[in-house]
Amino acid sequence: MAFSLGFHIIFAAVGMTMPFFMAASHYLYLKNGKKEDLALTHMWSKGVAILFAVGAVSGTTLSFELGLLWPNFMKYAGPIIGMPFSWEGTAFFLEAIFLGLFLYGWNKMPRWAHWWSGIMVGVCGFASGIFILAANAWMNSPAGFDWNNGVATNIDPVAAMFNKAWLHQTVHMQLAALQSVGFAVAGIHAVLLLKNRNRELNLRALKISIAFGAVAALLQPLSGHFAAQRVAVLQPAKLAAMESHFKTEKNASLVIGGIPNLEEQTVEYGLKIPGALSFLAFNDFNAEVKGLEEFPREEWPPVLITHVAFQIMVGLGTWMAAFSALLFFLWYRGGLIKPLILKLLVITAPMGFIALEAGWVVTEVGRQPWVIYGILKTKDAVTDFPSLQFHFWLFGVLYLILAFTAVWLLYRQVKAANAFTIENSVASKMEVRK
Amino acid sequence: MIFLVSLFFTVALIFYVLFAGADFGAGVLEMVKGRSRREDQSELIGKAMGPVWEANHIWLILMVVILFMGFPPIFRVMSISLHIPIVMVLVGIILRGTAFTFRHYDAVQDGSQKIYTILFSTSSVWTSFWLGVVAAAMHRGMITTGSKDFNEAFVAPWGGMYPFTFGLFVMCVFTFLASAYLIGETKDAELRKIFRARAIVFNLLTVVLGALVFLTAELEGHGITKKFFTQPWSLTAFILATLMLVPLWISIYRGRTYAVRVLAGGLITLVLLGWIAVVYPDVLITREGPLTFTNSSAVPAVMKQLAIALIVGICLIFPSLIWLLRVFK
Repeated sequence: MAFSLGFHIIFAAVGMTMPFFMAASHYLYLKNGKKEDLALTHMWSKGVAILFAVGAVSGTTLSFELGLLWPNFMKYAGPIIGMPFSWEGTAFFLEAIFLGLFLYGWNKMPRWAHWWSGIMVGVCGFASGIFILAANAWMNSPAGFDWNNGVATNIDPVAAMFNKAWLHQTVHMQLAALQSVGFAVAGIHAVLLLKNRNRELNLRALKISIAFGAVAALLQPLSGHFAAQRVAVLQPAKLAAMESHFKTEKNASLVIGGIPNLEEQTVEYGLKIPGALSFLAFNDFNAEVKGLEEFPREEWPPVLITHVAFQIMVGLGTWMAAFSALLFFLWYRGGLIKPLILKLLVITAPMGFIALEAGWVVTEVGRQPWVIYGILKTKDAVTDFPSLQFHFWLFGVLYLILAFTAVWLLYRQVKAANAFTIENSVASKMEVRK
Repeated sequence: MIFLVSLFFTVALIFYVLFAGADFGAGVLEMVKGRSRREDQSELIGKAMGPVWEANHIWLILMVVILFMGFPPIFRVMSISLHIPIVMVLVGIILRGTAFTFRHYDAVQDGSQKIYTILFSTSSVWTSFWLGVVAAAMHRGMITTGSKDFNEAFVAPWGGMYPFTFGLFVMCVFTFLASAYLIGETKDAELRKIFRARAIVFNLLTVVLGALVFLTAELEGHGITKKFFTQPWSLTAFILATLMLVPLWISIYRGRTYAVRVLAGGLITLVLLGWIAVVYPDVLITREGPLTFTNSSAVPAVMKQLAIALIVGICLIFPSLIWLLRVFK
């Protein structure tokens, strides 16, 4: 399941943000009629089509896996958090319809209606992401029911969906998706620019993707701060594990890097900034932050994994935010395209996705041993079906093959798109569409 | 509310079979392309499915969501007892969808196209078969929630002649639908002739396998055959479906593409409705007793929200879907 999710999250991120990039270049084309913008729209829409298909089938698998692997979780959770899922189903349905219209609708419908269908792909994808995150947030901050002796009563699906964690989680995730996809796309085009291929096209691509990615990257630290404040209240054990914060104390210090030592309850080699954790969590340098010591040992999340994943996420996020600021400065000054900057863009390309996965590890591993925080433990939720290892390997291998094939296809796309001159590729595509 | 939600489920099931089913069928057709105009057949199938298959596929997701939000006990028992065939379906869904998309979008045309086609067609056969197995196992009555024995708990519910025959039957139904729809997708007389022939063959195969389904049900002794022919609604559906065969053949023969589509879709809808009438009100029959929409529904507050989501959803989905079909079909 974790494997499926970790796989799906990347394709989902692309599926819900990339259509906006595509629509942006499409808009430019419709406005100024430049061939490069049209070629770019075609190129990106092919990428969207490939990645959306993978996202759609892995999403289907996930909706079944909820039951296949966690039937006892779904027994409790299904009715309570089914609502965001049912809305997500609707949004996903619309996304698929509009994607069909967009991809195959060239020259078959009014130009602006066609453009609008592309926008709707993004809107629906974005909406379905929000619904899924609301469901995940509910696992962190269960709401909308009363829990008595293992039975949920007074179920209120609306309250469950708009639980206390939904807002910060959705904002954080949607920004993360924009930023990771933005930088990944920018990285690909930076490689092509370094090789001096189709300068005009790749330059335009670079600008659009940076515009999306860098704005998100600059907003992300704010949303991270907001998220940390919510987590400090809702799941103090998670925050403590993220920071390897063992002792409850006022003026708590923020630990950067370091390896937590569980026996001594200290962090080795870390850099400490006094008071920063208190500020991060409560906007007050003297606030008291609960340490892991407040919780029984068996309710500790795996401290090392949570801590390291959190450090990776924050570290990469900080770099991306700083780099974004630099990019905007250079853009403003008119010197964006320098070899050094392009090389930095290439290096930064995978960082967003790594941070995305790390952040997901923080939220999931940081919730352990609970699957529904404070209500149901993970070990009580898993299926009775034996040989889950088989399941794991089957889908693990399948997804690996898929991931490789998808990347390989994209590689071939990029190569083919750049081997042609713009005129050729646009002309050949027009032919195919007719 | 329960009625409304169950109605949505039934409608989603019918649409899934009529549309997504045909997409699976198109994959089966790729396997039996024969000797002439193989490339053109593949291209036609790609062109016909491309814009719509993802939307068609999502009826299934809608069904799953309705089950796990509205009828969690059914979803839970299914997920445990039918774990193996459902996993088979999922593997098939993943391979089929990606192989189809990859075939269409691979920028380089080389040997890999053959691999995509092989994967696409075998996984279409595979998935439709296992979908049928799951459907049969749900009303076969061998599911048990009490057993600790691996075989009894996870294999016996679906392992047997009846589900396997049912799987083949579903595959033929899908392929029949696909060939019937494809006739109208091309103006090329020769290609039309190919798909007209396929439509007739798979129509006959569907009838034969339908008979075998009844026969194996009798051999396994769970009384479905008898119920089918004594329940007034299913008997009516059966008679109507049989009567529809003649106009169907005539319109296939005369190449009336629109009539063929309507009649083929109507025929399969009748078969489905007949089947639903037999099983009704049970959804999942276990050895411990049947689970129905009524006895396994979630609390009213949940059903209300689910109904709202479905109604709003349908109001958004239908106009868009009709737009999609108008642009491409």
